[in-house]
Amino acid sequence: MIEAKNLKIAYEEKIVIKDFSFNVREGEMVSIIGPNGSGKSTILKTISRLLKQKNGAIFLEKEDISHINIKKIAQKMSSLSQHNRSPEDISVKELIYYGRMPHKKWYELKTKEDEDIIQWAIDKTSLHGFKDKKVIELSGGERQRVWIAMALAQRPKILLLDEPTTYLDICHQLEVMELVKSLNEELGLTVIMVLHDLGQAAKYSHRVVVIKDGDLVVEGNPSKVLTVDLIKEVYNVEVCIRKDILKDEMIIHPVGVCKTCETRCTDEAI
Amino acid sequence: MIKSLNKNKHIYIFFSLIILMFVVLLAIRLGSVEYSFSKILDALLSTEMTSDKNIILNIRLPRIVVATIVGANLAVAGALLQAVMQNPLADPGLTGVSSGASLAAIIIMLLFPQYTYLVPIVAFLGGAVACALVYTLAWKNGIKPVRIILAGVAVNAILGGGTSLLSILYSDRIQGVLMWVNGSIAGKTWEDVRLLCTYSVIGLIVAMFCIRKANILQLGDEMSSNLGVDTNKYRLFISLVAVFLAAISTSIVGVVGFVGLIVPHIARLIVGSDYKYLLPFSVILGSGLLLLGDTFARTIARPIELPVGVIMAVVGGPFFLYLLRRGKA
Repeated sequence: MIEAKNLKIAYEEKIVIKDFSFNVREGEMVSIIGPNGSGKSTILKTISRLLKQKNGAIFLEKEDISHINIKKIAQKMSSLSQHNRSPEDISVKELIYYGRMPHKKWYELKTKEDEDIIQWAIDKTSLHGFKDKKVIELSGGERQRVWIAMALAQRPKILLLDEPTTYLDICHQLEVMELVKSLNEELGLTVIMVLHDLGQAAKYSHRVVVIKDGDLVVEGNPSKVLTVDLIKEVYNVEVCIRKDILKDEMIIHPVGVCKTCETRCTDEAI
Repeated sequence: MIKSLNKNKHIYIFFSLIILMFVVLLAIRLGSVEYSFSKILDALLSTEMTSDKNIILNIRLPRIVVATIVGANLAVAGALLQAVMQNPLADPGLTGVSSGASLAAIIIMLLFPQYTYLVPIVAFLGGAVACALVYTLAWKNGIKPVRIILAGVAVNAILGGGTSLLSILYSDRIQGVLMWVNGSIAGKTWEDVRLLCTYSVIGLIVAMFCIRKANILQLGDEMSSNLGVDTNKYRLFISLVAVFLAAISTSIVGVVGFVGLIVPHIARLIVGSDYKYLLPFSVILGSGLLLLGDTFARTIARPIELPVGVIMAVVGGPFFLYLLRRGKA
């Protein structure tokens, strides 16, 4: 679906990513994780064309992205950045309507089809009670849902999310992640996201891609890849990983920064 | 709820139109000679050319039309540039249009007074060149609003220095120039109206095609790009329309500040930030405000007529501060 080949990305002279390749299959949910400054957001921004790579190429359905008209890309791929801002007085419904723009010529007005798709996006993100409210009146989690609804109105096949849960409280974080998961399962939406929370990355992705200092450390199934040693190597943090056998989920507890921590937990399963 | 909100916006636009018509009537009435409404009607309906009819038809009306169009142009230019710069303090002057036009016009008026009839076209070109300079300096892998603003400040300073230098060197001839530099609608004829109208109508119509573009730019660069928009292209196109409107106005009446800054601001407070309502409302509000300002300018110190630019700055500045203090702006 999306393939990155030998990406080299730099801000001015400073090289952030040296040589990065990966391939995301259709319907997959992939998280890019790594410490601050590792270059994970840089990779996502390059895929969404906000940054231009120095070397290498990105392929969307086997087609080099730099040769595709950006409007065509916007019909297939939607990306939400960490900070999304909107005019203060815009309503939820009006904002979601902007998601239709990639599908419209500049002179085309709102059609019945647009209305239906907006309604569908509102259904999918459970925003019924909010559709006539102003975006500014909503809480952070509700607002994030509105942006996701807008992205859905683009009818994309791929959704790129840059730290979608930052700034949200724990309940809203889970709400947003559950929403993304359900979109992945129900619509077959391919999701690539940058996450900070290892637990969420483990819980909500089919595959994690671990980056450190601009290099790919390892990638694969979270339960296999995310080990105590790896996290120590990448984050310099001692963790204790438990497996919840009933739910087939991993729980990652941070114990402490490596130099100071003496304790290691022993129980592997509960 | 949204429906009713938008209905309110229509009502605001309707009422502002009525107020505009009222201001037009007031502007016909007031001046060095004051007319009652019945006298205006009599004069206009009389078949022979009385002096009253001449004053109303050939002095006041063209002036009123020029004021309304210039007001509309500047307000729309300001509103569009606010979307381009993503900054509520953007003003047409920032693009170098006014300072470029000023310098060009002053060079003609002071150094080559025999070619004074060329002032509109030279001012237009001066404005266009200055603005092109600002955008060229600001261009680096695309246009970033901050760089336009910085380049604009720098270019304005340089051109403003040139203007001051010439004014000092030729201070004996400065009288007529002062009116122009401060924006004056005095002595405009139907010929001016024809010229201004032709280009303004084109500019304003194209401006209405910028509505969706401006709305998308308001979502920020990353979101615009996500929506399949080439932000550089949009910025250039909208800037071009705005600068054209500002330059055509400046070339006819000289430099009028503040309209392009405060009108879109007030309009935003009243009808919100959707350009579908903001632009038409700015047209009406800009027309009304500049016409009111000009009517003031020619009545407040009768028989002396002040440049309308001075009135706009003196009244507009404090009003703008008031908006800032209210905290909503």
